[in-house]
Amino acid sequence: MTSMIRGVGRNLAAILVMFPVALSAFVVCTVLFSTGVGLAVLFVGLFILVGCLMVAGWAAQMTRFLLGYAGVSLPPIRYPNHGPGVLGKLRRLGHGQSWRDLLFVLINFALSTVSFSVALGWVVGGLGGITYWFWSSFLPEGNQGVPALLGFPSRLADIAFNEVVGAILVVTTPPVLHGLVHLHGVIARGLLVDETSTLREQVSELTQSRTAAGEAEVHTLRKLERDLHDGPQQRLVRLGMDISAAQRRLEGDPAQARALLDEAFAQSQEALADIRTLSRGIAPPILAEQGLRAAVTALAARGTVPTSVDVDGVVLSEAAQNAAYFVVAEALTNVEKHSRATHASVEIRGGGALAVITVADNGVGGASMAKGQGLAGLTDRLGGVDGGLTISSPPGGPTQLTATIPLQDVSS
Amino acid sequence: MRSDRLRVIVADDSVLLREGLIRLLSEAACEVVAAVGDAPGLLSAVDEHRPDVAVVDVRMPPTMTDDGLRAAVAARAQHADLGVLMLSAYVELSYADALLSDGRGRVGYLLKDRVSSLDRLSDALRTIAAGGTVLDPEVVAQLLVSRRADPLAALTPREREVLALMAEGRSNAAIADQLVVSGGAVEKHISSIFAKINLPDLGSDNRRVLAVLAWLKSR
Repeated sequence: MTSMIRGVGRNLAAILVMFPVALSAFVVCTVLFSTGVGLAVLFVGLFILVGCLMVAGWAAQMTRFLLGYAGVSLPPIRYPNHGPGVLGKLRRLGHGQSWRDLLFVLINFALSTVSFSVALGWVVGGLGGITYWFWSSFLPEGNQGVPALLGFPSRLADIAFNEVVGAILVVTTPPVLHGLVHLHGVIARGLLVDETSTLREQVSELTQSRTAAGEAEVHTLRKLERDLHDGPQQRLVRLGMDISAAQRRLEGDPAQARALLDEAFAQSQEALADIRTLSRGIAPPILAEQGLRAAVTALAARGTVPTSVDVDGVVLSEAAQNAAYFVVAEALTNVEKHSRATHASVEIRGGGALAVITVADNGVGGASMAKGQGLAGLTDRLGGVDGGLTISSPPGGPTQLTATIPLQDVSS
Repeated sequence: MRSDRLRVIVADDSVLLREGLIRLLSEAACEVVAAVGDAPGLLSAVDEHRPDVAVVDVRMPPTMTDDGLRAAVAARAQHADLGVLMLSAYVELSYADALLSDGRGRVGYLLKDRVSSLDRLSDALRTIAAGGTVLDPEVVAQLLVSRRADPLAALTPREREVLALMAEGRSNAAIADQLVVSGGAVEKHISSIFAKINLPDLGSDNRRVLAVLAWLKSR
């Protein structure tokens, strides 16, 4: 019962609010449209038309919101970002959905006028009818109702008639309001839902994130090659030099040969350490074996800045888990290198449709996407799993890096 | 062997290798007149010291790509008598091409791994300083592999060995040493090879090496 009343309330509110929205949008849009078309030969008219489309877009969004409030949900529209500058603005004129928004404003105004009157009339008529017994006594004499005209002049018949009509109106209010809202919904679905453009947008976004992921991959491989070249490879070459130099001295100068061999041994150890670090950077074994929490805890323990770790039981796909790990790794490396922090914290939580990774420190701040290759690389890496990255790091600190990764619904 | 010490510049961005090379070169009775860590440094050091040979890492700052190679080619364009020994972690035929393309010799291209052998480094430097060409066996192997269409098929295994050593820049005597045969046997092999692949025999100097390389690279 309460849910029905709430439903009626929401439907009514949506219809009542829709009318002023539709009315004002209609007025503004028709004025802007006719002015814009009239002045289109002068350049300024085009901008007025853009303004008209923007107003139509807002009205359409508002309608979507109202319908959503009343329980008719429409898939969201993505308005493409046409880029900055004058040309970017003007490109709006070539956006089909914007013109459909405008058409919707015109039609919705007409429909809204009807739905507003019907809804208001129905509710007021119903409530008025069932309370007729009370307020009819204040009516001036000589007011003839329908029953009197039909030959039942008694007051009782008058009251009974009004009560019955009122009751019928009240009882039918929920379906009528529901029907009106859905009528709006049908029109809106026809004009405000643009499957093609939504799909197209999705495709272009996916392409972008795929490209970014591909670039991140290439970047990683290149970095790996460079690290191999600069690290272990150099050490092994030097190791070879040291050993052959020691060989040449074995007979004549055993003391120096020993010193060279000591050096060679040190080089071999360093080369091993280099390789260990590198392989951890490629695919940290602990991540695959023991999961994100253990891997992140190990990362935190390896650093010199005391770091608290808080990972809840969020379950991520393998790719997302990898991305999350490297976000934390890169962030903690930055904390170590640049922040001069005395404490850092890592938090990974899954809430709703998102996993949120937060790495914060109490250091000197001043980190930015533009500065470090590393952070830009992270954005690309996150792009590969449809994630995003934001950084708050005012000069003087503290720094907080927040990455979000959508949790993939297995069913979708 | 020349009695005067070769004057050498070392250019490598890794301090580790630079130190190792300097020690090795002084053992090889060379005088290291400068050691630099990037391409611009190499160019100015060559201008200043006029060394006999520059030992250059292909990959160096500023861009960490083939800066060393490009700087070496540029330095040779200015100082025609400058010898260059390129060192690289990889075998890239295009690196060898860039060095060899002026056809003047006095160049070498070795894998970094080779330089731990003192004799190898020392021989290479002497050959280069004397106007010869030195190529890493890996480079030659790639040249031999990349040539499929096959006058090479007509060569006996021994002749292929001789051809490879020739391409590396070895002298007849060095080839004879390596294969443990007499100098006369080597000369016989060589004229047989030249007859089979249809090249004029140019004697035993660097022009012969370059002709062999040119032939290997053709096609």
